[in-house]
Amino acid sequence: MTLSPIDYLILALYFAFVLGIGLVMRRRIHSSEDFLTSHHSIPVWITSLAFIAANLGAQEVMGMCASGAKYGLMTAHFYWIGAVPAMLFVGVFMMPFYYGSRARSVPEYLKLRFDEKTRALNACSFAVMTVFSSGISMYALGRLFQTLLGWSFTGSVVLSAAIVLAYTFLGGLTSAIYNEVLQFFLIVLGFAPLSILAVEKAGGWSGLSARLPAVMTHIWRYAGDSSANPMGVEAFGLIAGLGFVLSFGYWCTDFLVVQRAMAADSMSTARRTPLIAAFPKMIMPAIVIVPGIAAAALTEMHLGYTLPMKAGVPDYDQALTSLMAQFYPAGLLGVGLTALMASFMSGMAGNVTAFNTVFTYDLYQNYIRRSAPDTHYLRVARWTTVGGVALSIGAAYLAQHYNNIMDVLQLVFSFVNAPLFATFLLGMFWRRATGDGAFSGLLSGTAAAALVHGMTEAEGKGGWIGVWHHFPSTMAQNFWMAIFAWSSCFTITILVSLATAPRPAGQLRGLVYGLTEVPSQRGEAWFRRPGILACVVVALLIVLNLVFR
Amino acid sequence: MGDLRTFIGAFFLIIGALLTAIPEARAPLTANPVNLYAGMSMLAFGAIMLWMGLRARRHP
Repeated sequence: MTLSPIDYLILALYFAFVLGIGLVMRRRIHSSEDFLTSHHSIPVWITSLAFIAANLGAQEVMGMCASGAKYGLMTAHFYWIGAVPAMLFVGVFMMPFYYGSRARSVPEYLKLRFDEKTRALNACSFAVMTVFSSGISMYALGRLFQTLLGWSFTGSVVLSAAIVLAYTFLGGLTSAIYNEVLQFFLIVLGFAPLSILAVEKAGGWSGLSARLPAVMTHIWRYAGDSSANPMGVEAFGLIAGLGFVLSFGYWCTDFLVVQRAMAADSMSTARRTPLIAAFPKMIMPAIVIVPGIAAAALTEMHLGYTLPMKAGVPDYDQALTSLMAQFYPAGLLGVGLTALMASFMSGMAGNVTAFNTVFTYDLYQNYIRRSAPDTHYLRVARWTTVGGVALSIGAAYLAQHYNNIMDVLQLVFSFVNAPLFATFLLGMFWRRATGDGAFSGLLSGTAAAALVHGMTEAEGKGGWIGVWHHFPSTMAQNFWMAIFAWSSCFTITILVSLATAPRPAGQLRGLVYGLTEVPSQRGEAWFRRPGILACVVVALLIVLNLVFR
Repeated sequence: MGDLRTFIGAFFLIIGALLTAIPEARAPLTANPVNLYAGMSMLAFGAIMLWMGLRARRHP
């Protein structure tokens, strides 16, 4: 792929604008709260778009396109039974506790609700995960631009890291959130034409459906049996593993996304943030999954496009960029590549700002220096930004040299993440849950996830203890691993909580259902009421599931 | 203080203008002037965002 001067000009303009936003936002920073939490001052339309943009990293965009080409429209389950219902749940039921507790981070909520050790476990694992996630994002960016454009790996990594560092160092969370909104629009406007052009070339949706096996264009028809669909997953595994455990676990407990809603300017807007974000999230498959399905159809049609091959099999990871090379002329190609760069940077900045807050408030202020003037914490937060970006660059190079280490780390993260939703669910809705129960539940859930992985095998992965069961795909293995981890955490938390002394009700006000005043919605316009917004989203979800069943 | 909509509007107005300035560019599999269509969409989107941003500045 070769770029023209206009493509470079578009990329340079984008860099200038994100740095400009950072410079303007710098004027808003007067305290550590301004820098790390935006001082609860961001309007709802901005927090809503940032809520989904922080998750719209390049791995998501390129990965979903690749899954579309490989698995077809069933990939939309990640949105329609995964992300969107979880976003409704966090907005309607969980946000009153996050926002109402005035906690500055998710680990801090765990400290208030349970105890110090539960917070420390979550804060440490989250801090390590964010650094490595950001590093993996940088590594992927470096590899992509090296393969695609012949740029130097180091040059791509350092350039993107320097720009992300500049605007997060200058304007903190507000700058990251504002840039995420620009990045969101760039991603949508940069990739939507690709979806339209590729589907049009394949003869529209009906033409595309006619060229592909029916399993590629239906989401439920072949989900009854794991051997009937290319994902190798049956309906229960999809609903319980992906829909309930994994998606709720990510969208309801991951501080990276929850932080965007907590930056809202009131409880009402914090609750509406994920609900409003659910509307664009619902139609994202049209932009990120449909091009992949079109790529599979075009390959069958022999119209001049074929999916690139690697070792004799289709290289689905290149579906998005190979489509761009064939459908985007100079100019629009620059917009598409800038959108790709924006999605990498939005993922990196999201991780860096979340790392900042957790390190400064949950680790530094708690364990290193407890009572210092606020200017000290602001300085620490700024230097943590530099440290976070430097560690991410280190992680990117680690990934370059020891790719297996990164695979192992990602696996360990999935062990840690899988049981988290059970801890939050019990913590928020069962006042009898105790700190000892939560801590032992988390550990047992992580152990259960590791055991399932060690005792089962899928596509050559797992089975390091012994192969007791074989899954048709790693996706099915991941879903079942999550189901076992969640169930173990849920059960052990209940058993240990019942055997240990509960905290007095007075200490749980604002943290648990039944002891927290949910703000009245009376007097609010109907379109501002979380319950009504959620009902509209559910109705639209049902329609989408029926239309593409 | 800069309104975010002003930034976004200005950005897409510039990108839209650049794309509409080279309508003749073609990719291997596109026969239509896609730069023109995409550029005009971005100009319209940018103009709306800029108008909203400037309006918010006049009536905060």
